[in-house]
Amino acid sequence: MLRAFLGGATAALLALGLVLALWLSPPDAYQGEYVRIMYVHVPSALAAYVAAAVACVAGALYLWRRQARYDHLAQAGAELVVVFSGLTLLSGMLWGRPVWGVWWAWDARLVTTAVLFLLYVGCVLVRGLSDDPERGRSLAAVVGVVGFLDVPIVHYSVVWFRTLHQPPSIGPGGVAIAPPLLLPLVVNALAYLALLGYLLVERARLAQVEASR
Amino acid sequence: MRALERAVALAAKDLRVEWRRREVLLPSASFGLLVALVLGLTQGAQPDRAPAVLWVALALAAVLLVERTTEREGEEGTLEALLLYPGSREDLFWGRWAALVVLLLVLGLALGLAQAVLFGVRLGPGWMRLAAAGLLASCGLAAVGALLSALLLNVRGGHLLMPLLLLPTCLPVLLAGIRLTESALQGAPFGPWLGVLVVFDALLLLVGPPLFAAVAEG
Amino acid sequence: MNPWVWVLAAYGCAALVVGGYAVWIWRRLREARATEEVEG
Repeated sequence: MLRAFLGGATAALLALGLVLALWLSPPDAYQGEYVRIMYVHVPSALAAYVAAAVACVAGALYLWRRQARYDHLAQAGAELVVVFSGLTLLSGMLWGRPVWGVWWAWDARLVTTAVLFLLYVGCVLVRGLSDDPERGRSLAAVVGVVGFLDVPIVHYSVVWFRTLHQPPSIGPGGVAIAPPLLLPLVVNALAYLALLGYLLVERARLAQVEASR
Repeated sequence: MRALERAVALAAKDLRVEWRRREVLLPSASFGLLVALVLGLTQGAQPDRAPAVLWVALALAAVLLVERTTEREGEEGTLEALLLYPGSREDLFWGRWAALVVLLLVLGLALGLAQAVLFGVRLGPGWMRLAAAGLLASCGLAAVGALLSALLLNVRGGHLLMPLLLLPTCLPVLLAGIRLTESALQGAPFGPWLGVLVVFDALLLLVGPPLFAAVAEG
Repeated sequence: MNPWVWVLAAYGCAALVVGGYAVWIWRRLREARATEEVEG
C-alpha cells in the first residue's frame, strides 16, 4: 500500500538524517556543534513552504471544482504550514540565541516565516469559526491561495526594506553552507519532505473519514 | 458596459451611505490619530520617524475601516440582498473596492496632514509623488479589504481574524508606503518600491474578483 | 552552557511538535474507526 511505503520511507530517511546530523557530520568551523540545529531549521522551513504551496493549489482546485478531496488536502496543508513554520521559528530561536546572542533576527527569511505562520493560523481559524461550513471551506481556500501568492512579495519587501538602508546583518538568516554540511542538509531536507507527504496523506484521510460520518 | 455601471452604482451607494452617516471614517481616523499620537509620544517625534508612524497608524486604521464597513453590511444584510440580483459577483468586488479606495484616500490624506503637523514635516515639491504612492497603496489595501471584508460575514470572531489576516497580507504595502514617503520627502528616487506596489496591486486585482466570486457563490 | 543542550532542545522541539501532531491525527483516526465499528 502507498501509505505503508511512504511511512517506511519517511522513517528510514528521518533515521538516516538524524544519524548524519547528530553523529556522522562534523561540527562547523565557526559555530561548532550548534550548526546541527540547522538540520532542523532549514528543512522545516522548506516543508512549511511546500505545505503552503499544496494548500494554495488544493484550495484553488477546491474553489474551482468543489470536490471534497481538494478541501481535505487544503486543510491538511494549512495545518502543516502552521506546524512546520512554527518549528522553523522555534529552532531558529534556539539556534540564534547561543550563536549570535539574540533570540530573534529581523532578516527577511525569519520575518517572512513569521508572517507565513500567522497567515495560516488565520487560515485554520477561519475554517473553524465560520457558521456556515461551506463558507468556511471557501474562506480557508481563499486565504490559502492569497497567502501563498503574497509570500514572495512579502519576502522581497522585507529584504529591500532592511538592506537598502542598512548593511545586511549577520544572523541566523545568513549562513554559508560548507560542503561537508551539504549532505546532512540535503538528506534531512528530503526526510522532512517525505514526512510532510506522509502527514498530508494521513491528515487528509482523517478529514475525509470525519466528513463522511 | 453593464458591469461597469453596476460596479460604479455599488460604489456610489456605499459612499453615499458613508457621507450621510460618517460612522466609519470618523472612528477610523480618530483611531489612526491616536496611534500616531501614542507612537510620537513614546518613540520621539523627529521628522524622520514620521513616515513609519504614518503608515503604521494608517494600516491599523484601515483595518478598523474595513471591519466597520463589513459590520455595517452584516447588520443591514446588504450582501445577501445584493447577491439576489442578477449579474456577475465580480462586480460586487469592484464596487466594494472602488468605495474602499476612496475611503482610504480620504483617511490617508487626513492622517498625512495630521502627521505633518505632529512631526513637523515639510511637504515641499514631493507631494505629487506622495499622492501617487498613496493612490497605489490605497488600491492595494482596498483590494485585500474588499476580498476579506464580505468574506468575514457570518464568521464568529471575525473581528479578531480581520487584523490577523489583513496586516500580514498587506505588509508589502506598509513597507513600500514608508520607503516611498521617505523618498518623496527627501526628493530621492523611488527605487524598487513602486514596482512592489504595482506587482502587489496587479496580483490582488487579478485573483481577487474570481476568488470573491467563488466564495460568494458557495 | 553545553552546546548539546541547545541542539537537543531543538531536536526535542521537533519531536514534540511533529510527533504531537502525528499522534493527534492517529488518535482521531482511531476514534473515527471505533465509532464506525459501533455504528456498523
